[in-house]
Amino acid sequence: MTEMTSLDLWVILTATVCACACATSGVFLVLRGLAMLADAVSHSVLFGIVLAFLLTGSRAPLVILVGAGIVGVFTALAAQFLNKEGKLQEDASIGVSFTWLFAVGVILVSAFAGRVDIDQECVLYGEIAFVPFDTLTLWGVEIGPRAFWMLLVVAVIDIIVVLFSKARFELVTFDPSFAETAGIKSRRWHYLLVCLVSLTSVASFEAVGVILVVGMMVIPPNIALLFSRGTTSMLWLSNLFAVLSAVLGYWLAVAIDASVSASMVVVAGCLYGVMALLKYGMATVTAVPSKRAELLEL
Amino acid sequence: MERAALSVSDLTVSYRHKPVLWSIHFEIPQHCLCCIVGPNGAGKSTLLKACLDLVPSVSGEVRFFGEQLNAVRHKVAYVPQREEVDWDFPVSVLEVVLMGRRARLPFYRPVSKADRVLAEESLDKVGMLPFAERQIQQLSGGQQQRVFLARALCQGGDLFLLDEPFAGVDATSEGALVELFQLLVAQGKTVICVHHDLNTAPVYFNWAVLLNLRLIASGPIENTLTEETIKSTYGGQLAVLTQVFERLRKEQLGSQQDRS
Repeated sequence: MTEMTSLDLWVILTATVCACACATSGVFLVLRGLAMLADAVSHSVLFGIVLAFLLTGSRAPLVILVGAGIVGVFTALAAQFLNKEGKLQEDASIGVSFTWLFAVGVILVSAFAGRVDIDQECVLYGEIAFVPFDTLTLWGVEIGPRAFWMLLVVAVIDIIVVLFSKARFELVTFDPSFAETAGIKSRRWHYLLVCLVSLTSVASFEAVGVILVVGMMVIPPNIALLFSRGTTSMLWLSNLFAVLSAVLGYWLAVAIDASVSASMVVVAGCLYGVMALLKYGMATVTAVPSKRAELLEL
Repeated sequence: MERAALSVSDLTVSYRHKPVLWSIHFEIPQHCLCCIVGPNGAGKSTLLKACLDLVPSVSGEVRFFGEQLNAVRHKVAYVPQREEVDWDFPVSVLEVVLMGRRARLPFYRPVSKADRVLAEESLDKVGMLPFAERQIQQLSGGQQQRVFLARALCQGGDLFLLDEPFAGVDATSEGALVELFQLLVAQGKTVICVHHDLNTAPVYFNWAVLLNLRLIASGPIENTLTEETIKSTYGGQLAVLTQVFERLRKEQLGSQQDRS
């Protein structure tokens, strides 16, 4: 990399807020064992985007966010319905509902290709390098890429919602039947989380695409889980590793002239490998004496 | 007359069109230390869950202290089976106990100093205070169960419903738990446990509900846990029966000797 231009800077900033949004909404997703649901929601969001565009003819971020959010929740509901009423296995029900919706989305994109200004490749893999060219103008002043601002808003929403309702998410995730008997409606919190994931997926799809957004939602929280003693530290560590993956990923992409979003996820995966080795390495060195001490203590 | 802590009438529960509980009808008065016994698959856990609306019931009415559950939720503390939760969850022992308080607060409200003190007291009562800052994944089965009980204590309430509190628990913890149950009952609370060990049931408890898809018997333990009711509860499971009859016979022998 020679000299950092403002274009590079915008790409890195967009990648960073995207990483934060994904890492934040991914924490409880991982703890609830719903990584597969992220995959489902992020794919079916394509259907929501196309549908919102076809129905309203608008590409305004708000319209698309709402459309995708509704479809995201609908996917989760459909999966649950197939599981409960259709007696499908849980993973099978998710597999059926999201692939179907995604396929409908793909057909809509190709059927209305002339009218829909959406590139399939871009939706699938993301093209963050083009993000700086689609800028937002506010009161006649160009304030930077549209995707950046959309992701910033979503990241802030994610962080505020998760921080405020962390205790509830913890409760319904750790012990749902206890929560239920205490009068907490677990299902409402579940759908709040699904909403956050849909919102984040749709906001990120330009930056990283629907396939790789799952990586950014699932890998950083899992790295954080290796070292966390509580959900608060998991949240911060998850954000830290996500930003690290985004920045290093960008650097890698420039260095080898590859796709930025793919590089980000590759870096995240490598970080997970290194950190897992580090943790189990540390565990074997330190755990043996401490375990013995624990036994003696009891 | 004082209202029953738990009264169930005509409760029927089915799972995928197969009935798992048939027209259950019983009452458990307050200040009882009650066990729900029956063989595997008798629907003991399902009974608790159906009472608490955790599984849907086909018919029947359940009253806690004469009221619907919604009206008296704050009086009822439920401790699920230990295996039902993920003990690898990144949370400390104290935080788990504090969940008992958090469940009572609006979601945005942080716990107060008083809540923390209460959580520590509850941990102390179950003898787990030294472990307050530990991660829950480092605990043994018995310790996990004691933490769960501490959470129920911290939650407060007059009726404790526990699902298999002694499953996978070491002898020390089991003794500590029983002592605590007896203390709670002495303080005017009611404790109901799903229990599977017929040998210890008459030692630990003073009230019993015998169950095998249908209700076999319910009432004070000395009247309900008899050779006859056990036989109709456990049917052909002979190994269990001979063991228990042997015990009952020995006890009768003992009491006869006492009299003479």
